[in-house]
Amino acid sequence: MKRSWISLYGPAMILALVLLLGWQMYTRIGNVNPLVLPAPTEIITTLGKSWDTLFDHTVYTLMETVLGLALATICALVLALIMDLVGVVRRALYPLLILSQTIPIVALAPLLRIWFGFDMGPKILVVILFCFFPITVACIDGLEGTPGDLIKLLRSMKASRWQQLWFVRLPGALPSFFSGLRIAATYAPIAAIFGEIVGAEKGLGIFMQFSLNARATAQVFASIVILSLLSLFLFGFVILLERLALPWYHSTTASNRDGDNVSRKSKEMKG
Amino acid sequence: MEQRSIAVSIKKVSKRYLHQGREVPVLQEIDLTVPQAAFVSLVGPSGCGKSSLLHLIAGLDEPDEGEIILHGDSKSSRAGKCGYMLQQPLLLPWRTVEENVILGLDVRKTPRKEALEKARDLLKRFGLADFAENYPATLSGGMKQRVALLRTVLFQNELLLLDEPFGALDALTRQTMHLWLQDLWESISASVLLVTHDIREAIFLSDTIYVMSHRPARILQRYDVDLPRPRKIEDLSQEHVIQLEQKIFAQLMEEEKV
Repeated sequence: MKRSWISLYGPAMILALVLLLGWQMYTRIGNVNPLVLPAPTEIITTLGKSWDTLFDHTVYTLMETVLGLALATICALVLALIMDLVGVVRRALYPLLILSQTIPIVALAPLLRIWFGFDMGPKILVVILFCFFPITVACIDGLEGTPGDLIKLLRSMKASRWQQLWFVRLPGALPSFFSGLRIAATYAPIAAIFGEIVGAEKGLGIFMQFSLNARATAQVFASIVILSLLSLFLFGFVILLERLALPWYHSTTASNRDGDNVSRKSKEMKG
Repeated sequence: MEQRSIAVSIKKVSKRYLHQGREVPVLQEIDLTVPQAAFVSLVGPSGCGKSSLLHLIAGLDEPDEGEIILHGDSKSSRAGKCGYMLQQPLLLPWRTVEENVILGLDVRKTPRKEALEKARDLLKRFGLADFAENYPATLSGGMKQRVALLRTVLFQNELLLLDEPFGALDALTRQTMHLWLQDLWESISASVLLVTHDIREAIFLSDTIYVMSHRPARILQRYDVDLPRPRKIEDLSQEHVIQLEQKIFAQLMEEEKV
């Protein structure tokens, strides 16, 4: 049976409310300096007061995030496909790809600013650097997960390599691709903020930095709230896309996920 | 000479596979014939190489020695000329039943509309019309296997290579599948080569049964099943049928011991 909305989300909401209430009481009763820790109500008022400025910065950050994520997705798909189709490229690139992930991108961000300047480009680059890896790896895994027997079946039908890819391997890799995209979508806004903090013309990251320097702590918190909402929105959007793209995957989740599900790893088959 | 033309004939076929750096003989001088529109079964101990033979006939691999003559032709590529069905139904979960059935036609680039018409007609003739637009995940094991069979038939109905298609089903479902397959086979008059380790299944469905040895597989014996068609489940309790079953069973037991 399906659980009701309240029994599913109620506990988390109540817990969040209690935590907020505790925070509010602590700042009021403990007489905490609002420059150190503003009360939740104060954050909300600040949010309303500086809405126009905040909105401007949010739009800018959102653009970097979405553009970066989209470009990362395209790069990752192309890279995964090429690596899947050409063995040499795969053997050449895969180790370097792993190696690239050991470079702290946070440390790279200031360099990118020096090389490419203060505008949007280098920020988008930071987002791409953060996001393309999980998507690429997920895609490669998905393409590799095609059961061997399915390939045999296609070959017995005299399907070309492209047909095998188009009819079986790509659709089978989609659930895996979306897992990667979901991870990337949670990284993306944070990556944009990293890019902005080291120097930008606009954006939530640089706004936070300014507010911090001006001791406007409530504004920092207001930016954090917006950033969280942005991340949630992006994550929700990816989930929506996934539902639209894979109706079969979600309608069968509960009842019969294994069986002969092709998107899962190949099951042990009789020879 | 032969009264009927031959769908596939296998002459002295041998095959070795590399296993942990060593060449292991899997098939040894296999001789076998499937006449046009005949139902032929191949029974043998598990892991003896029955599946490897189908693999070769389907054109996924070439024999080391001997030849495989498909519809009188031993030279050209065999891929795409047989309907090959494996033990797992291997339905694509993102395609509906009818879309799964047309997979082979998609590979052949048949126009969608035409392909779907053919699929719907086939599904209707064999009692699956109600499921045409379902996703495979909603089907039972037996139903999935029927869909997989129809996919095979729609792709290529002259020669069907069935690799233990009912191995994963429960006994009752398997029996209904036998009746269903008999109907299907009679109405499309296909030539069938079925690999199985179920002797009753082989006897019920086949005109001819080849018994294979333990690895490396040779043909031990060939039996003709003398039963009029269409057959009923009760036919299996006839005296001479039971004797045949026991004979094959004893032969296989002997092989399992080796």
